[in-house]
Amino acid sequence: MTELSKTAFIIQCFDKEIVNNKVHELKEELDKDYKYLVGIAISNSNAGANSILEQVKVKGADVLPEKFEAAHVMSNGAVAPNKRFFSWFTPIPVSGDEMIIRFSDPNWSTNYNLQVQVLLTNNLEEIVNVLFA
Amino acid sequence: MYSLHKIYGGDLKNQGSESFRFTIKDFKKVRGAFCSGGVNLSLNFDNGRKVFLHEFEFGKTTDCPPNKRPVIFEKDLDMELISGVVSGIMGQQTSVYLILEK
Repeated sequence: MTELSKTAFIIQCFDKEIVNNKVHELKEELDKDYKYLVGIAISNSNAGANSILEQVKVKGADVLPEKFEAAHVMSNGAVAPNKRFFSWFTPIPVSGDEMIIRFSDPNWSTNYNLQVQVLLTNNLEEIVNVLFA
Repeated sequence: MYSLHKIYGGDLKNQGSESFRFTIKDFKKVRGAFCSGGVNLSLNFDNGRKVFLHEFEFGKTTDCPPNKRPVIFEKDLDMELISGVVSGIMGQQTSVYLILEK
């Protein structure tokens, strides 16, 4: 079994302050030194359980289905940091492409900072073994 | 590798229980299924002849790694009718996904 510490990967973070229950857009270019997007996670425990990932797109293509429940990619502190990613999608070939995430929290009650983490790698086979081990 | 396919999405009506049926083209295998937390899922393949899940409860907790939450199995597809029932609290926003492989 491959160990995560031996793989070439990076966790890129998108941050956005959530200030109401409307749709918020997070937009950023992915690290051009990495070739595949293989995982997504939301680390913020302030985000409501009914939060929605309205769209997650790279190069105009959907990474996740529209209106995907954010709870599917959220974990609490009991989950090891390297196991917090959701990876049940086809790895997306990337090359410094722009990623757009549209997020909404219908139960928003107070401002908080949302952090979405994406896992990028150059070594597809090894990282997939780690993610699903 | 994998593709997510939403097979049900909506507010649970009919006393919190909704049925669905569909056929999938362009994919050869189903590798798993998952749905919103706090609902029960029944899933049948082969035009109703094979029951894969019977009122399986998906939990709401987030203390399990996201990649481990789906029910994982392997089922070859051959243009068959897939059907199921999802049940929970009436009015609950619910979605059900299949993990498909080409």
